[in-house]
Amino acid sequence: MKSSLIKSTVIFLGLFFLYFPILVLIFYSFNENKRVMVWKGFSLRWYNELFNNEQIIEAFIISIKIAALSATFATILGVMIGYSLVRIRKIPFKSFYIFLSSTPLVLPELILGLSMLLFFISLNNVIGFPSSRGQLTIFISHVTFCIAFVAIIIQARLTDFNKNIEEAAMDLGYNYTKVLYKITLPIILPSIIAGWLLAFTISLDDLVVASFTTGPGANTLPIVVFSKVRLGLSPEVNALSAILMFALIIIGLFYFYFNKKFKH
Amino acid sequence: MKNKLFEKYFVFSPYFWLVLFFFIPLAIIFKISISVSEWGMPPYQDIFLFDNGFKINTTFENYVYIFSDYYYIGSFVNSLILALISTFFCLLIGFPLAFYIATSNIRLRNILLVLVVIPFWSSFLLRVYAWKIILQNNGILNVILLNLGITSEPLQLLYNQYAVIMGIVYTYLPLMILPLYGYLNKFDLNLIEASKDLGLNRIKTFFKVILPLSVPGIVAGSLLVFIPVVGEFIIPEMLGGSDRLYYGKILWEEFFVNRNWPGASALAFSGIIILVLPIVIFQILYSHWSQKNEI
Amino acid sequence: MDNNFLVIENISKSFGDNKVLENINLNISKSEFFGLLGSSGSGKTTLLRILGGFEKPDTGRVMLDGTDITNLEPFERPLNYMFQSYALFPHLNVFNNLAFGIKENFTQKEIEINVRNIAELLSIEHLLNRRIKQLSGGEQQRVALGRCLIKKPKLLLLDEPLAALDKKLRSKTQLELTTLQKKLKITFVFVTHDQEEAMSLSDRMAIMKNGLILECSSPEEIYENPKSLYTANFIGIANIIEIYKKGENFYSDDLGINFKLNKELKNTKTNILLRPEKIKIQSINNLKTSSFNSFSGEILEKSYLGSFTRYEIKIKNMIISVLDQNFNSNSNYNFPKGEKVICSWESESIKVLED
Repeated sequence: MKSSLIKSTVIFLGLFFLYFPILVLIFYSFNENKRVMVWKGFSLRWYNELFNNEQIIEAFIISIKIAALSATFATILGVMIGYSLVRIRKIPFKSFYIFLSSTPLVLPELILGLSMLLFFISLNNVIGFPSSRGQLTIFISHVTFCIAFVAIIIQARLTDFNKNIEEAAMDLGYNYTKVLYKITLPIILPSIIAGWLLAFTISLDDLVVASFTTGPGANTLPIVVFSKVRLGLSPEVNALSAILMFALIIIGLFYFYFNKKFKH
Repeated sequence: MKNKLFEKYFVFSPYFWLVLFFFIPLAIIFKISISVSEWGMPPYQDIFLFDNGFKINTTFENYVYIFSDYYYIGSFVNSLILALISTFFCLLIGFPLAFYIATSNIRLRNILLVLVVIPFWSSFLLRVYAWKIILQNNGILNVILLNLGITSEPLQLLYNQYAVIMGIVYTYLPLMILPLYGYLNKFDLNLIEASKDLGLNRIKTFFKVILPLSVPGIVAGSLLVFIPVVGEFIIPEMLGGSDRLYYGKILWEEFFVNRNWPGASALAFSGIIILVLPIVIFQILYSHWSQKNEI
Repeated sequence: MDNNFLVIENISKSFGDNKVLENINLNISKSEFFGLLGSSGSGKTTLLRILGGFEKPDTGRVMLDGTDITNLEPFERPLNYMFQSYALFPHLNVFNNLAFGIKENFTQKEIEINVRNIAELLSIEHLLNRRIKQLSGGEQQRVALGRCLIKKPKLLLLDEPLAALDKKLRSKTQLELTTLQKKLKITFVFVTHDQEEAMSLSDRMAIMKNGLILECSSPEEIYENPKSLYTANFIGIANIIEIYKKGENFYSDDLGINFKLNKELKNTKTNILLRPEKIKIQSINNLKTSSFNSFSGEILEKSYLGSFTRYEIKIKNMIISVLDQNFNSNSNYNFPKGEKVICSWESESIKVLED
């Protein structure tokens, strides 16, 4: 009895620690007062202001666009890497390939952002492109560091995947390409979707890399939010938080649904 | 082999992308870090000069400069200490949580696991922002402390290194719990019972059975927390004060404020060598090893 | 009969430094049910995978029905492979799993008919709309079999076809499999580590060890007249006795008795095999010990197995296993532990092992 009481307490405190800040944020988003910390009464005023804030709406649209596009590209390339690492024996300079596909996972974002910015500047000096930084450069950077996350999910899935299933399809008359499209990809489709969702969220949430590689007309949502809350509090951001947290948590639940490997 | 053309695309498309957009940028950081800085745009000289014949124009000045100035080394050390402390607290909170989740029955386990990781899916920036609200002078925590009579006037909780540690432990906790859970989940719970059956009490069982078996999980989780925290920029920027400078902030300012590109690049490249390289080498060795032992 | 329906010639295969198969030669006839028996690491599965086309041999070739198939891809071979794990497609239902291999070349109607026929043959008509996860092990095994048979292969390769089934189901499926094979007259080659399974299914079987084929013959021949020590031990229970020439006869130091062989030996020292059921066991009172082909010993252990009783009998330095059939209802034949008994055998029962 005693140990199960300790267990419940630990789990309860842990979950409380994880959810308390989120609940506080949502709670204050309904505060009427412009001074965030002084409770004046329940109101949807800041939600209303949020939806009329063109800067935030525009940033939101840009962020979604970049996130969807970079998640799609990162998923395509990440699936290719995951497949190559598990199924293809002859990869030239394999260690280098592994280095390229796994380092972005551990590299601090700051260093990645700096390297991308200096790369785009140097590229512009050499070939005159990209003449200025903006959505395209953020997109390229996001693809680059999301690839690794997708690759690792796919790699894990394919490692689990019984290779006999592919061989059975071949034995029944399907050639390599057909096996890929009719067997391998359909079976790992849930993991591909999970990888896309993860990449989408990472891109949507990224501040550091986007700050380095952004330019005129490419203020993503995190950049706008950061500029608003860096030095103080913003009631509009509270409202935005509540909505965004909710949306992202839904995406997270979908991720768990698709990435069944998680559940064993 | 016939019909295996797609394999070439699968290997080489991402290869091409990563060499172009990941490897070359890293190489450029290195190149700029050994360039001579000057006033102008870009604020460094080319490393190959062709005016009077060919000349290689490189320098290690930038490295000497950052490694001889306490301002840089000190902040790097600050970051390492911060990462160490945060990792320790993540482990302290994460281990019992992961352990108790792993020992719950299977249905509850999955629900708890999702509950633990879901906050990680919500916006990083906003979760840090939430602590800004909690730790305000008139924020919830101070209100509670005042009402309980623990303190008579609001404490300055925000804008210091403790707030930074708080924010980091909060945001990185799921990264610690996941690998820990992964390893704890794998091992046979009967081992704990067997150990108790053989006469070890709860504490001894923990130190002699549970802890040794979860070492791989502890290492993996600690690395996942430690490395990004060293380079963390947002949390100190939002919750920290001027009491301590960290690596991320210094790098940012060196680049954007001082416009010292070679210096910033040298800082970044040193960070890669010190932090990332050991882990990458370990990973490559490990994957070679596990592949060899597969057949 | 075409003895050269499947010809395996000089097949060798290594994985890195590890030699898995060394110079394998086998001829398998049409409509034969052929077993490859060996413990794990013997190379049997690799050989089967080479036949299936999933591995390429380093040397040698495989001829099927007069055609060299060594370099054909798996999808180009007129044979099918049933995996130990069954490898059913988890994203397709039973119907689509069965139809998978004929989808490309048949019309919808033909597919429908073929699937129905094969499902009827294997009595799985009621499962066609199920998902793979909803099937029991035995049902999965039938679907895997049906998925191969629907293609009417010239040769069916089966990797441990019964290993994933529980014991009771296994013996039932064994019988069904042989009946099916005789009915369809398709050549079956299967791999197993289970000697009983190999004996009961095979027309002929090959014993493999460390990448070599030790011997290849009918189950009866292999059981009764094994050539090697390994085979003798691997199949059934074996009493192996080392003997050497002593004067006219042969002598065993371990047993301290003489043997009379009805056959001349090349070597002066050799191993002989005496199967436990060939040994007659009698009460010591009934008979005098002859100095040849019999010994007296003490019953050390006994286990009653229903139709048989197995005794472990100690004589001098050795323990000999004896299987005694329980003929009578009375317990005349049931000797208690510790009893002294006399064991004897016909000299034809002694098999000389070549190596």
